[in-house]
Amino acid sequence: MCLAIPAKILRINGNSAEVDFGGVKREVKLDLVDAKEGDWVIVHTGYAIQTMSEEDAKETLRYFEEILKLEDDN
Amino acid sequence: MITEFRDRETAKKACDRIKEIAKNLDHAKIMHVCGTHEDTITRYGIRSLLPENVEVISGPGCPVCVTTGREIDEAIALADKGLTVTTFGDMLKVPGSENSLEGVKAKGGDVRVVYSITDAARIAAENPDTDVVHIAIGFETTAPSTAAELKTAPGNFSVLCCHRTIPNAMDLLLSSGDVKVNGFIDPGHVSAIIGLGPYRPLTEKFNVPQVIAGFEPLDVLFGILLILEMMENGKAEVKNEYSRVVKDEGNPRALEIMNEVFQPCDVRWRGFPIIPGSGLELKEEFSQYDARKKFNIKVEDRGEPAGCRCGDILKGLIRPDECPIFGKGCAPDKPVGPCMVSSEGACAIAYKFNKNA
Ligand code: SF4
Repeated sequence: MCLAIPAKILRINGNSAEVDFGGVKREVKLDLVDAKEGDWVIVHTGYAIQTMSEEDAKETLRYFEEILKLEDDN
Repeated sequence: MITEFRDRETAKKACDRIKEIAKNLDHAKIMHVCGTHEDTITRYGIRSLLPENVEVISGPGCPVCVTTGREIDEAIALADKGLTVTTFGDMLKVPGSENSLEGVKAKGGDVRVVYSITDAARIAAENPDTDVVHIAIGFETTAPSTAAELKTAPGNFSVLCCHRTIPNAMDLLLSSGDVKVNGFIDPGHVSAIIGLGPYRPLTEKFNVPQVIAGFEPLDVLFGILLILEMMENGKAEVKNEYSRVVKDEGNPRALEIMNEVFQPCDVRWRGFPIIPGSGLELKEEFSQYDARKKFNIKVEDRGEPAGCRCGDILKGLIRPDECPIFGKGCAPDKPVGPCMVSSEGACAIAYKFNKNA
């Protein structure tokens, strides 16, 4: 039940939204986040609990590379 | 966005780096406190990729598993009273002292599985003459949704509040000295709500490195790598590897809604004593939604099933295959403890992937 998965917001209707979990569509509540159509959110038991940033994901991958590069240089 | 976090080549390099650092360390015992981390670790066989002196153990991170036998008995008592009880599916088969919610349902009790508390409140709204009680379990990831729902819930709806908060349990675990933990992989989605702040006192008090990690294989491997690096440098900090979801301050809106509805309380966890301030109870203004008060249920604490080692699993003292009845007297179709029931439970995960977890 703890599972929380990313979904993309398709349409917002008031404090809920239709989201897409890789093909599966579902209604989720937006009470806990500030999000707009097209945003990625993390959904847990029917509620979006946080937005997800593509920019930060890329940043993390760059950070991983950097850590490993240090190793190569040693 | 996800496939890059499963890249084999990068994973291999990360493992090489882990092995390199591990050579300079005696033994590293790293604990995670999230059932979804256990799933990633076992699913991708991460333990088998690590050097012998790096051990990853699971802690009290499965919300179904840490729920006590007494709370299960309370849920059963509510269903036995003829009320409509809604629950997440993972709770259905967890044995109470004499029965399970599934057993009550088989005897004609009105126990319904829901995907979210919103579905439960909807059942109440559609059946105004019926009392509907939702078994509200879960950590900081789930508690905000309970809080948000209660702000607009109908009068015939209430919750059996079993929410718990993670950092206090980590503190108790380290204070007890039962298990020596060198580093924590902090739970990504609990952290999405609470941010980095609540973990810092732990690092200050116990000098223990922590990394908030996501749930893809690379997230976990880099979580381990960053902890080992801190151990090697003798530096303990709280790092955030999952910044694509976790902000320093967490989710202020969710925290505000939680604070509006809940206040901390002292509560026992399965396998643990009472952990001060580690539970959430409804504030006075919301007590009309408190099923314990509304239906005046009082059940005795009859402890946990004899022979079940779930408490030791949750404290990180044993692995599932070290429980004498794992896979024999206890299996998913005849579970003795909750760790074999919940999809987040260490025993169920070990059984499913047929690996020594
Ligand atoms: S194998 Fe069963 S009884 Fe043993 S610890 Fe796991 S869930 Fe509990």
